[in-house]
Amino acid sequence: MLLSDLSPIELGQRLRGAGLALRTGPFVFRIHSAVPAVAEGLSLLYAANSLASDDEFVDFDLRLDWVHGVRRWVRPQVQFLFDGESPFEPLPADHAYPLLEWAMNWCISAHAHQGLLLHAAVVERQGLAVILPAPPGSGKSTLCSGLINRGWRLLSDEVAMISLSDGGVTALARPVSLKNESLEVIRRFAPESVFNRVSHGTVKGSVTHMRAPAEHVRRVAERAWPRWVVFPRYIAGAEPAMKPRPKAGSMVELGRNAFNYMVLGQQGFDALGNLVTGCDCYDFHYSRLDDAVVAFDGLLQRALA
Amino acid sequence: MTVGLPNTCPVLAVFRLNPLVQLHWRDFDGDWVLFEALSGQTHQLDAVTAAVLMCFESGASLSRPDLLATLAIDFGITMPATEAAPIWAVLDQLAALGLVIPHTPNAAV
Repeated sequence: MLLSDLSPIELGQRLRGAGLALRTGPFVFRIHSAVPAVAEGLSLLYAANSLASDDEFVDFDLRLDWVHGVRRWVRPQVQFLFDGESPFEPLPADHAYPLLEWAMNWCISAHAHQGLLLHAAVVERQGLAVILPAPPGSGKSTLCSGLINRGWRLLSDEVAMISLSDGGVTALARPVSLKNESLEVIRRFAPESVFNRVSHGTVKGSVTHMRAPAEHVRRVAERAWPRWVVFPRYIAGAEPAMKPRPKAGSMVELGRNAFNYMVLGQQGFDALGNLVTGCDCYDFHYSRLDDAVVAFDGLLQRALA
Repeated sequence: MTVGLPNTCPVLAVFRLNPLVQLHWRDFDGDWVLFEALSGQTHQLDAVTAAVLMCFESGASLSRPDLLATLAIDFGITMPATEAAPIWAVLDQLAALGLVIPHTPNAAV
């Protein structure tokens, strides 16, 4: 059963009642919320995702609900509760949907230690994955959005989940986070894309989420094999430049960008070392998405030649 | 327990690998990444720094002249002691990281 099979009333009933058991890649989230913006966002962005049955294991049980008391009526706020605890400060009601996505990211990055978790986007083509690690503001999500609208498959926008046993990347295929200027860039680049409404004034500025293409969600069980690590950087007016990058420094930088490298100890070192050994590493500077698509398609063509 | 006086003479000082460390290496064309399992720290080492540390991995206690001799034999890195300041700097860095420690051979620890 897909989320789109539920009527808006049924979706609301589940969210306000026993919870909506939503499957995203290998994880099942049970989401509870009486906030209309959460139901609207889920209905729009996760329409193609399947729902777990009542007897399936749930990885993360989370609640996103109103802050009670005077905050319910004066500048209303919402809060995220995980197993009854509140890891984050409450946020204004208008930020409810981004808070849900951030909360889901946190659930994975803080708990899913069965894999090495890198703070990176991952896209795939022909079974080969590009890992795009980058700090905020580097244009990672913009680049990821551009690529998945030009033939690359979305595995993840925020978390690259690397298997400790065989090095494969697990797909999550969740919505892509876009903020500020990047939203208009992607609207122009891929007008057919579907976006949630924009939340203004968040800690990241104006943010929204772009729906993952339905075909990518349908193929979420297909893993991919890391072939490239590309550190992207958006520089206004820059010509595209894909420059090889030393592997040792790339490995250390990836470790800094990992959520659980230190948690995993030697397992993390071995997984990261294997990843970098098997990948070509680059720095990539760009200012135009069309140029980026050509550059990434070129990587693939050379690998397959 | 008997503790010997610290051997601070630059020439006579003897070093060895810290017996507590557990080193795991990755070589990327002469650039090395080192993971020390006990602390969980990861270090990026150039070829010379890696070679200096590897000289101690067999468990040997080495004075500075011994270290220069081992570098020459095992790694082909040759230099007179009078020009070895960069090697001493590397040794000091490794000692500061706790990867090698000054060692007094006759002290019972």
